[in-house]
Amino acid sequence: MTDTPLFDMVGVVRRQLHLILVIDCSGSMTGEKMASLNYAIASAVPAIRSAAAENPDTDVRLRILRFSDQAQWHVEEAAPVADFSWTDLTAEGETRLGSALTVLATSLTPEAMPGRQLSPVIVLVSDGQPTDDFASGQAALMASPYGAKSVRIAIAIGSDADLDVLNAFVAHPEFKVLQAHNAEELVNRIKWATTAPVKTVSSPTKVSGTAVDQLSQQAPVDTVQSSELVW
Amino acid sequence: MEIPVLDPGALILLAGSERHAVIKRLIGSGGQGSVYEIDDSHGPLALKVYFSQTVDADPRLAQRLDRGIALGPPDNAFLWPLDRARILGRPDLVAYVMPMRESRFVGMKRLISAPPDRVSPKLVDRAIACLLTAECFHKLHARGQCYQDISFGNLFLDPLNGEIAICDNDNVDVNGAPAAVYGTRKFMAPEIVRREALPSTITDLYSMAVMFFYILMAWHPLDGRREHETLLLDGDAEVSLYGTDPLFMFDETDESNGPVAGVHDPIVRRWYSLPRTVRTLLTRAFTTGLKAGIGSRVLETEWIEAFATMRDTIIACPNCTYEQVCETASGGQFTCVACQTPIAPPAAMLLGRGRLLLSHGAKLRADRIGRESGRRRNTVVATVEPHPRDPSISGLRNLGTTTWTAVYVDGRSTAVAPGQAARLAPGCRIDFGTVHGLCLNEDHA
Repeated sequence: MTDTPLFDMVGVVRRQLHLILVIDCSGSMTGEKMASLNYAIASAVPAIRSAAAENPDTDVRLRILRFSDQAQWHVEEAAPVADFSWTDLTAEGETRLGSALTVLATSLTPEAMPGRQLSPVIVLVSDGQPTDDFASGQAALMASPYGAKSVRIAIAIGSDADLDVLNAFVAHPEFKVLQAHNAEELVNRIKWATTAPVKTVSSPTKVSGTAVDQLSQQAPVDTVQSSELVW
Repeated sequence: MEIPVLDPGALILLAGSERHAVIKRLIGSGGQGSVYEIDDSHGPLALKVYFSQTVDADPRLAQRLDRGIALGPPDNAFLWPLDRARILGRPDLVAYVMPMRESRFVGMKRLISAPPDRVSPKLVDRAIACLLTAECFHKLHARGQCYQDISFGNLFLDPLNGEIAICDNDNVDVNGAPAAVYGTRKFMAPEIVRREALPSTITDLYSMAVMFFYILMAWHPLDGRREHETLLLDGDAEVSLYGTDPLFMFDETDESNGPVAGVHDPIVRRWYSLPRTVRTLLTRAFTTGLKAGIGSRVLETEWIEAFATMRDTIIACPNCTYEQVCETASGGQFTCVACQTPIAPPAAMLLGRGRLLLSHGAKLRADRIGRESGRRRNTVVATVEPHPRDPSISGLRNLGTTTWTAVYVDGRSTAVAPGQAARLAPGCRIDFGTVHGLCLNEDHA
């Protein structure tokens, strides 16, 4: 052995944090909403990257699941955030959220997520009412080994989103669905939802309880009046 | 949450000195507030402006700041609040100024970053960083204050010389006062993770030991087999590993959380490159020291002595360059912990209670020949180098400002002025002023 690096712990594999975006691409999202959502996610990527850099012992990975008439992985292979680049989604068809959660559930297993993991973070973004069986999808999600232990955040776009369904997805007594009433709020909510869970791993904590409790206290408060809806 | 945004050019009044300053640029925003660079007639300063939510949630904040400003920093490594600031036109905002962090300092978390962001200081500079950290917190604790959140986010390091800077001193409070934070994940003492205690001097001592382990090993002391086998680290698993059931990865009496072959090998090798004294203290810190109580935690004075000794006894393997501490006396048998090549232990100089290995390039620092503390103790006052014409002869070059006297076993004696080098020979004695050094080995004859 003649070439021993001085500090070679670099070789020890870092624990992964999967950030999974589940995006409503139904027909009602067509047009400005979809364009604005694409923009919001693309512009959140650098912020996710810098939050990840603040957590050097965590390997932050991104996965994207879209759903409309069916659920389909947009980015299936968990992509390291350092080389992630966003490709736009398009909208059409129904809001098969239940089907999306069922697909998601099958991928939230130790086999589908090999190696050491932190609780996966699932960010669900939707503007409407599910057109299929949400409850069975949610049940499948909560029955999957890592789904039950996931950190779940929901963002409702506009006034037509089914808040009861989204709150049922989050399933936390204090952590409510985040609402985005206009494009600017959407950018902010997406950015918060994708970076705050990464930051809680390494930032000082002021509340006792789990990471989700901590997040629920930091969550942006809905301050916009319903009359300010722009969509 | 209101995030005040101040534009460049906005006017600041420093409350105590009644000087004016101008906002230059935003440096960054964190969980508590934003930090700006400001231009003051006395040079650049940093201005921290709190979010209103932070002020509302932390009733002791103003009192802590005023107390800190009145007391001044325990050591210059603390980027300590200097003065309260008022922002003209924004009387509602709470703000203070502090020294700017020099650009040579990088966050300690860069020690564990993935390449290319990772910094990899030499082992000697890691020992110095630990030594200076221990000394800084000793000074803080000695005056009855505690830091509350020793972690990656607020300690900074000069990777080229081991000097440190300590930021976020606005949480510093009288030991025993209600805490403003619980601390940061993986640095919190087990009793805080279990929610049985709040940050105090005693929990600072634990967090500091975690920081030492990270600085030396680039790893967490409790992350052994158990962490490796925990596939999903959720909140419950975290409370168990770091709170209710913590176990040191090098615990000799219970190896159930020991290193995993093929995974933790570099960490094991690094562990055995450390001096026995440091390993003993780390073992204490993460075995008996896992229990709450001042009596179970390792105190700064113990660390300071161990790290100073470590700093002066590091060699690089001539075969593989792996840095390690050599505790074997010259003439004894020593093998590299990385490549197992036999290494001839270098000669040493005894200096009071200290011992400096006289390998070429070794540095004598100011604290070995005088009562220096803080960054001043880090000043290099002499270096060991080969004779320009005969590399088999070693000399000690005087890089300080005072003249030494060297006395050799044959009775000859000579003055060694600043800039000159004194030949190192067995039994020779160099008088540095208040301290003298005694050369031990014949290798340098």
